[in-house]
Amino acid sequence: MTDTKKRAEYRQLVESYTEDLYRYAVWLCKDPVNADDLVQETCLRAWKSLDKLKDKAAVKGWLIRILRNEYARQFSRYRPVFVEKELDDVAKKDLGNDTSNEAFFLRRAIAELAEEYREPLLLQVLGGFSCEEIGEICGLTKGATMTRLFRAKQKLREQLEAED
Amino acid sequence: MNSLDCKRFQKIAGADLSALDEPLLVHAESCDDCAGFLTSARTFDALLGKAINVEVPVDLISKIESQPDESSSVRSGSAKRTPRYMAIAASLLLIVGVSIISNNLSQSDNPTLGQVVLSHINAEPEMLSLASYIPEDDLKKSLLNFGAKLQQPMANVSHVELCDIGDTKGIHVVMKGEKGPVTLLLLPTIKSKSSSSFAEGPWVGYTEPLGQGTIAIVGEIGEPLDKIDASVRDAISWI
Repeated sequence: MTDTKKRAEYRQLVESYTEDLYRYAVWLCKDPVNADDLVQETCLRAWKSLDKLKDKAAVKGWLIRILRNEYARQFSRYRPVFVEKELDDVAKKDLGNDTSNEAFFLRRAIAELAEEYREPLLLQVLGGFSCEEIGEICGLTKGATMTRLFRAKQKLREQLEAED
Repeated sequence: MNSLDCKRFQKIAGADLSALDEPLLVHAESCDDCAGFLTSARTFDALLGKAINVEVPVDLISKIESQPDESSSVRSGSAKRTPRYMAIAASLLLIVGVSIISNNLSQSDNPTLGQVVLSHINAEPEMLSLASYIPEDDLKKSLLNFGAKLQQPMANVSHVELCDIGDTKGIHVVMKGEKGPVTLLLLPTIKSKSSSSFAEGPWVGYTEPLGQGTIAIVGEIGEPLDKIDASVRDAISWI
């Protein structure tokens, strides 16, 4: 692949999938700065391996797999460092969360879902993946993916109704 | 009504609306139960999407698009990619500059420490799980790592973690209260001169000076937070 062609493919990949990768990364890292780092690292690895990607149609799943592997490799050993800050500066962050009761209960219920249910759900809602694609990423059959998605949503509905 | 069709329809619609094929959609048009189920599933999916949506930094794509150039300059000794402090700055700019999901906090130009605390708790709901409690020795080690000393036993602590809280670091502790989980945020670098209380949704709480720093305590409505406050003040001190 020529350098020009590779750059064009990379640009297209970044423009098409970065936002989905970032949303998923925020849920994994629970921190927007770490998610930013994780997506940058994921795309850098994708750039280095772009020549090896044979099935262009599967690029989104390929990127998610890189991101999951990178997250497991990198952020399991993350240790934050203390920094002195003034209260006025502190108050400028953490404003992006929907604090409605409904959203709170739903996020809490999602966080309490077993990983086997949460991951397919996040891939569907945030990544827009089909059941087949989720199955490929998570190593599940399409039927098993459907079942997990059904149960995940059922659990969330039940918990939300219980809170009402 | 064909119960087999209904069962199949609701199984698929409850998992993945995009997987409904034409025959199933036609079935829903003639079946009140499935039509109702479909409406409910669409509403729930929309709510789900909104609740877990994440706003994307405006400069993320352009930053990543330029990575190959920065990457190749690594070999000649330049920075590998955007420095972390720039990422932090970008993140702050995003959060400050862009109106994000519509919520109470985003409407406030100067959120209080209480709002920052509530927002942090809302962002980490998984921390509120009280599945198991941390042994005292492990709790002691964790707190020591984070700059605090455990002087007396603290029972029923299910989580302790060093977190980004707003733009600072704090120790996020979750323990069992009488009504439900109680969150303590120990903020060693935040100097507050007085206490302030706050409430939102199911939560009530307050912040108070603790030594050279601040403590925030949040629990469900009706939780006797003063009892926990007293026990924490006796148990924890900054190193």
